[in-house]
Amino acid sequence: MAGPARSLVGMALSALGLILLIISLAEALMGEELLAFAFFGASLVLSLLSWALMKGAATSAVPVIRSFPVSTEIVCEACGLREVRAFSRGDYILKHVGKCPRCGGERIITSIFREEGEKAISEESL
Amino acid sequence: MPSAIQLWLFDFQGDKLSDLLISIILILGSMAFFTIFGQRIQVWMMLRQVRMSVNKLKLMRDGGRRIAIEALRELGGSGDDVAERVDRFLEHFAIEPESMDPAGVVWKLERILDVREQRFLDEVRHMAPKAGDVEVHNLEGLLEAALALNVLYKVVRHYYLLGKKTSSLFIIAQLQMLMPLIMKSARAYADALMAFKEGQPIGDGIGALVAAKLMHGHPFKRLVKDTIVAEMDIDGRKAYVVKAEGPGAMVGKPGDAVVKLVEELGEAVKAVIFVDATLKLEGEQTGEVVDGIGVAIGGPGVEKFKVEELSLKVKVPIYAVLIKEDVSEAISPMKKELLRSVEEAVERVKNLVEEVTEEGDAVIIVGVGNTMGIGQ
Repeated sequence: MAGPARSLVGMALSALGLILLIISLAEALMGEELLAFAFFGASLVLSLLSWALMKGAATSAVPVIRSFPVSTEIVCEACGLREVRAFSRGDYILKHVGKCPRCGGERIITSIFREEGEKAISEESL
Repeated sequence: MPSAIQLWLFDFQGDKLSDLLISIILILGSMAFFTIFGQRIQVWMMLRQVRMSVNKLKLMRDGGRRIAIEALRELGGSGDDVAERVDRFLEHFAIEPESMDPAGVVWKLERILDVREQRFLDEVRHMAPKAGDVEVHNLEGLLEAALALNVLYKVVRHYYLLGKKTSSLFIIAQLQMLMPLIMKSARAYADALMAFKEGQPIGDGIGALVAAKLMHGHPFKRLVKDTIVAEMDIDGRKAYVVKAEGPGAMVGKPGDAVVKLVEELGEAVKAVIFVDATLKLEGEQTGEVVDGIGVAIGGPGVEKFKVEELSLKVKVPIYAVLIKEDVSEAISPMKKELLRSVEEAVERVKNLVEEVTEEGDAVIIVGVGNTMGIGQ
């Protein structure tokens, strides 16, 4: 199960465990001790299940080796035409990458950067 | 006459009294249990947390090894030989010079670091015969990151096993307290792996990038090992911009470069400006540009020492323009917000040149850092 799905199921189990705990308290106050114990036991089991699931989700959320989406920005020195594409091996900042399709001027790589706000992708999924 | 407590106890009859006795036994029993076993439970919980981190470090170390082997095989490394050599590489270590008599220890350290670097580069060339010069330096960086992960894993495992063996709360507690910082460093090295494999610019290269932007379009020449210089005019001042020769993963010899330039130019040099990345504190903004005084060269301190020695002899003032970043940003692909600060840093350098020198003066500007993925 994927990390976010595990977290969701874990939270649902936690909520259910809490409800059962409240019912168990109510039963105990009404004198139904056996029923109260049963609900308490069920609540405990659900809480443990939730803990195990959430723990797994927390460790699987961050991949061990991350590879970030990296972009290359190419700008024409003459007309300023800007192009942003995915980084490819061999790119480097201030590298000349041929002629501009608009004005025929020289194009260079002005920046190579990692996209902000995007989640890192795991090595396995590359 | 019965006492108050006896009267209170007599109120409990039959079941009530046995309930009370059971409760007292339970409370006293649990107190005794936690007094005797409390520390052991604490140790067990700490060990459990550390064990999880050790397992994660092992995965990172194995990941680094796997990526290094893959990268070397892509560039001509053959069969099991590469895996065997990588394993040997990961265990490599350099012995620091003896410092009981500290005079001259810097030069001994420099010699050891030079030999170590040359040995690593030769090893990479042997493992990846199809690799060009740029790729060799990138692969060396990749192997250095994998080596750092291996060292972290082994050291943490050592203290974990030692703590387990001795059941010493103090060894385990120290380790557990340090784990978040250790894991942060490990995360940074793990993030660096793919950047070095692909040859992408990293956060540490921001100083080199500022120098590259300054020297772009001007002719440059090699000054000292792996280090270039370009001469240009900035507001009537003669500026000598220095950086490591890109786009391979190199840091060059900025200290040697400054010493050589000052020896060549003599008293004409009125200021030396270093541009480098600096570690930010939590809560500070990534990419913030700040001014400083002194030699801004990180690493083992050899290059810094050379410039400091020189500044005592020739009394040239040394300035620094620093760009703030986190340790995890320093060796992972360069963030957009760091790139945005490049223009600001370039402007700051130009303003500083204008403020601290006069027309006709010579000034040396050094872009410090790893120049991987950055040309000139």
